[in-house]
Amino acid sequence: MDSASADDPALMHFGPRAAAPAMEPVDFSALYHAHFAFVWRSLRRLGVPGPSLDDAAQEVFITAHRRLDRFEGRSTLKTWLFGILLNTARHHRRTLARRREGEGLPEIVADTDWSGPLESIARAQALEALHRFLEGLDDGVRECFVLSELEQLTAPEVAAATGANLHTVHSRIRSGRQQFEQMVARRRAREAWRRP
Amino acid sequence: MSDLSPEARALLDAACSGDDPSAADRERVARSLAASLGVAALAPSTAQAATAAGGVSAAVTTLKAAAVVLALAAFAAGALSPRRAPRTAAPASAPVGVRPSSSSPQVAVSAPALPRPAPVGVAAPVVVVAPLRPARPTPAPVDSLEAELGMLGEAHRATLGGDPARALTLLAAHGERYPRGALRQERSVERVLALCSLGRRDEARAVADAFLRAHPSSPLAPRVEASCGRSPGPVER
Repeated sequence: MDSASADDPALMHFGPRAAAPAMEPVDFSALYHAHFAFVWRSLRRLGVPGPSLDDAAQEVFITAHRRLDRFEGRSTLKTWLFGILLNTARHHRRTLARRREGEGLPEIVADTDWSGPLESIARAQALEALHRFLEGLDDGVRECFVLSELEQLTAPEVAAATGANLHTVHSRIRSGRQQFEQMVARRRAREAWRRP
Repeated sequence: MSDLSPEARALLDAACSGDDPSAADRERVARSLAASLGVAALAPSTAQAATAAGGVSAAVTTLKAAAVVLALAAFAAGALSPRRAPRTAAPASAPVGVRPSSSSPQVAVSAPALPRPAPVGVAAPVVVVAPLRPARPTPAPVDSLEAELGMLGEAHRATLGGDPARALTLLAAHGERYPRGALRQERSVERVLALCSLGRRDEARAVADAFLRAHPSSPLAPRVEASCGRSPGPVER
């Protein structure tokens, strides 16, 4: 197996090509604009910090551009791209983890007395809760949770994108959901406690 | 396929759009990407671009956004008013008018394709990406949300307390400190509200228009729509 596909679960998972369907060539600009938001938010949710997002997103599309002629249409472009961005996100997370080693992660205090527009507070707190939650998950569970619950991909699509087998994907999605429900329950308990 | 409880789903939905990029993010990365790939520019986004979003799931996820985009377009057509040119004057920065394609997983795009790189050998070459901001100090990514929220809250209280000018100063400082913070959308909304309080409707409208272009499906969009930056009010005809 060549080293290009060895680091690319999406490609690795497609297996040998059968009767090749006649594929229209994929236009790169169109691909960029159709999938930029997906790539950006997924990188963020997989733990790439804000200041690195531009570079990470660029890396994903450069890799996609290089490999576009190997895209066989066995999966959607979205899951194919996710395979690429997973590696990029892992790389950036590892770099970040090395930088933070010894520093210890600062504790986020969710409490705020901001009396801004109600929907803004709810949204900001929900976003923070989501990021905190994702941060605390194992890598594999995080990837499956992001794809299934936030991007609404089916389990077989998640399997194609992550390179994990279907059984593993199911158990990771289940685990992610359980942990998310627990987090929601903890939030509810805290709020009930705070109320006078 | 979600088995999440309604409460958990509601929390996810509330957080959902918070990670989306702005139109400026999209254009900035497009420019760097074009430079890295050695092409003049990436073709601007068009409705056609969205047809590259292959697959049923992509179509399903864009369906909701498309409905909002179309609804807003209809609204804008009805309530069109003279607009100030955006400061960045980027003609290609219109957000994608997302139209879900049919559920075909294959792609059919007729826009001219970028030159492909020469096919590479079996070994994957290392991607070398020119860093966009070489020596930029990186803010702490984890604890910044609380700080962002605190600063924004101060600005909001200033507007409420009758000092919208101070709110604008705080918001400008917020923008410099967190140019790509998680609460950019809230910052824009607060700016609109502060400008409205000062009676600076033209500026409020420019910020509101830019916001709605960049985040048409934001949960905050109705608030911007209801502000003086969009609604006709007593200040002018």
